[in-house]
Parts: sequence; C-alpha cells; structure tokens
Amino acid sequence: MGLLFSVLTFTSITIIGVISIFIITGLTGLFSLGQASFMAIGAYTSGLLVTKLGMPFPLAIIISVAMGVLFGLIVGLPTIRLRRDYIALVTFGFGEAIIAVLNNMTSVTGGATGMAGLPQYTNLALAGGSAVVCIFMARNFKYSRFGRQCLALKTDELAAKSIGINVTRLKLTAFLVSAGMTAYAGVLFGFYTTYVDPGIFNWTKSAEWIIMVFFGGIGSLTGAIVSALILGTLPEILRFASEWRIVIYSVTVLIIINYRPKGLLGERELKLADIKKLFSSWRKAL
Amino acid sequence: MSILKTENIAKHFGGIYAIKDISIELGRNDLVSIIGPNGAGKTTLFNLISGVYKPEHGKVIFQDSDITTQPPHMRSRGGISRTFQNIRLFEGLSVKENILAAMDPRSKYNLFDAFFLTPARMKQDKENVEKAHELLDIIGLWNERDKQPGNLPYGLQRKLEIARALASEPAVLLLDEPAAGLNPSEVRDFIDLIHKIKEDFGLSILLIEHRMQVVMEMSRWIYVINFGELLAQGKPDEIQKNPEVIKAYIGEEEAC
Repeated sequence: MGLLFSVLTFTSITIIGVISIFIITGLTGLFSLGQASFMAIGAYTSGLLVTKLGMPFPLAIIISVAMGVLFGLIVGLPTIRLRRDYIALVTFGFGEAIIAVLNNMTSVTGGATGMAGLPQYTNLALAGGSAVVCIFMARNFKYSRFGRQCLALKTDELAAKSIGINVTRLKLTAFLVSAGMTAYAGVLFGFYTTYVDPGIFNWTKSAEWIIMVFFGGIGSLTGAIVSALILGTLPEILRFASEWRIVIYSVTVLIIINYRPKGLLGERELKLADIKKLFSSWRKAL
Repeated sequence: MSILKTENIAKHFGGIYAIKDISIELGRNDLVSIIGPNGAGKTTLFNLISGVYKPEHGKVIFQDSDITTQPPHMRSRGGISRTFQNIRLFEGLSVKENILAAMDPRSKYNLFDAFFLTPARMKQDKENVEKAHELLDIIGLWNERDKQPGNLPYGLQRKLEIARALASEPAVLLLDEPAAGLNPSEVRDFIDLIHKIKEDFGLSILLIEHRMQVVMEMSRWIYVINFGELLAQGKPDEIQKNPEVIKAYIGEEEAC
C-alpha cells in the first residue's frame, strides 16, 4: 500500500512537470531542455526557506513559484526572440548551469551530497489534488485566447503576427507559466522525498518529460496525462524485471513513436464519451 | 483623402532593389490594384506595408500617422490586415478557431481569467464565438466550421484566409493574389464576395492579382510595377491601352 501511494504521488508530480512541458512544447512549439532546473529552483528555494528560515510551508510555496517565474524571466527575456533550436540550446545550458551552481554552493545547498532533513509535508492528497488543479488550469489555458494564439504561432509565426499576435510576448508568457508550474512540482517533490541532490534535476529529467509529451500526442493534453500515467508508473510496475525494465520502457517508447508518429492521441483530446465507449465495448467483450 | 500611402519607399536585398522609391495611395472605401510580372516586387511592397520588412528609406503612412517602424502585430491591431499568396492558415486549429485566433489579440481578459474561467473570460469568449459564427455565415464557411483547414478545398482555404483577415476588424485589407488557383466560376463568386465585404465592412482594399478579369472589373485605380519600379498608373481602361504596360507584359515586337 505504501509503495502504491508513493508511486501515485511521484506520478502526480510527474504529471505537473509534463503539463508544463505540454504548455511550452505542445502548445507553443518551443523546446526547453532545462525545464527540470526550474524544478530544482522550486525544491531548493522552498527547502532552504523552510529548514533554514523556518518559514511556513504555504508561504514557501508561493515564494518558490515566484522564484521559478523570476528565473524564467532571466533566461527568457534575452533568448525568447531567438530561433526555436537556439532556445533549446540556451535552456539546456541554463539548466546545466543551475545544477553546477547547486553543486558548488556547498555551504548553502549542501553541494553534491544534497540537501536533507526536509519535513515530509507532501502527501498523496496534496500531490494528486495539485495535479488535478494543474490539469484544470492547463485545459482552460489551451481553450482560452492564450492557448489558441500559442497554437497559431506554433504553426505559422508570420501569419500569427499578421493577425495581431505579439509573438515574443506570448512565447514568454507560456514559458513563464510553465516555469512557475515546474517550480511548484519541485516543491512537492522536495517535501515528499525529504532529500534532494542536484543530479536529480539534470537534462535527462527534462528530456524524459518531453518524451512523455510526444508519446501522448504533441497537441493533446489528455494524451500527455495518459502518457505520464503509463510511462511514470511503468518503471515501478516493471520492477520485478530488474535491469530489463529500462529496456522495456525504451522499447515501448520506440514502438509508439514508430507506429504512431503523432503519439498515442495525436492532436485529439480524450473525451468522457470516449472512455464510456471503451468501457461498454469491454463489457460486451466480457 | 487617403487612408494608406507609401512615400518613396525602398527595399533592397543584397545589391538588388526589390522595391525602388514607390509611392502609392489608397483612399477610403477604395479598391486599388497592383499588377506586374512575376518578381516585380508586388509582394515585397505588401511586406513593407504590413511590417514584415523594414524599408531602407521612405515612409508608410496609415490614417495620417507614420507607421514605418511599427512591428507587424501593432499594424494589424491598428487596422491593416492581409492575406498571403501561398496560403498560411493555422493547422491544428479548426476553421472556427482560426477565426477566433484572429480575434484573440484584442480580447480583454488576462491569464488569471483564462486559468480559472472567470465570468469576464466566459463573456468575452462567448461574444467572440458569436461574431465568428456571423463571419463564417457571411463568407460561406458555416458548414466547414469544425473541419481542419488542411482538409478544405483550395477555394475555401482562400476564403478562410479572407475571413481570418476580416476577424481582426481591419480598415485596410491587403489581398495577395486571392484569386490564384480558382476556377472561372469560383472567380465570379469571389468577385461578388469582395464587393460584398467591401461594402458591408466599409473596407479599403489593396489588391495584388494576375487575373485581368478581376483587376479590370474591380479596381478604381491600378499601379503597374516592373523590376521594383512604378511603370504606370491609371484607371483600368487607360492601363489596358498603355504601350509601356503591354511591353512589360508581353514584350516588344522586335524581341520575337
């Protein structure tokens, strides 16, 4: 039971991370290979505020998210005008730089040995509830004026400008939203594991989230969630297969990308009716 | 009274002038055409007016203010809309959403409203959807509203581009070869549509077009561009008889 709870908690946190990638990559078409460093910023800021300054947890959350947005602004402002491939490079560099700083500021962060002794404030209810709220917000974002304009500039920037979209500003907005969201995921993570070290938040984490968004279908929010559920729990389900589990995980990803290049759901969104249909067809089959 | 004009505007790429000192003028509720052989610089002129390029020198004046240095999205918000020669619709958005996206830059609600479905957002989006439905009805795309633009026949894609341009509530509409690729019956239909939207929306239209039927029937005034320079200008019947223009289009007799 404890294991199940822990897997579900981690999956909820992963869902928040994947949603933040969905907003920046799925909707806006930008690649952030340093996304996990915003998670590090969230985890370390909140961890330090609570353990060193004795700040109450809710206040620490707010400051940590603000910190994520602030760092997003520092990276985003000068780079968001660049071409998409350069943005991927710059965010990658930024992410690794953050890890390096955390590794070397030993007196504050504990360096490579990590920061321990965080109280376990996060539980399944908080993580799961947060994931649901983030899904709700991302859904509303997608179907708002912001989401539509993001999708528009993703397909054609020139046409987007010609209908009055401020492309630079909108990209920055999407980037900051996702930075703030990821920082929050970092807070939840730190206060669940009670211990963080910089290595957890390197670029492979960001890449993992990007893979999940592509696996689920690049334009599909429900796809991203389903994919985070599958790929987030798969390594745990496969634990009995010990070292083979990574192979099985990778092969699963390869098969999907090969046979469904647009991902599980493509640009479609899963609707309640689809799930009902699925269940009724199961019942008939049984 | 002109609503839009360029004053001695110029743009070169490398050492070659694509547009050299061109001045044109468009009046209120007017329809002016720009014609010329391929590569004459017509689309470059549109790009200068809509802000895709910055001119080397010269000015773009819109409603008596100098907009030469304004970025494209500000010009669109100010009231200059355009379509593209090679259709540029937003794939991944439905026909209706393509139109909504053009209204969104002027929607008033903020991020907080977007995230938490506040009444302000619901009201604005509802109004926009109603406006989009009206527009789809006028243009004749009502039955296609939930389709992906890529799945529409060519003629309807052209119409959708015009509808999207109209959704940003322009005062001036720049149409870049809107009748290209249409069959003769679609062209007739298209001419009627342009007349209709021009009157209904009180638009001033600047048109680039190769189909002489469209140009001669619709324009009040025509500018002829060749090699980036203004070759001639005048009323449709004057242009048809102009020897310079004929020379530019079909060459001289000796050259044959």
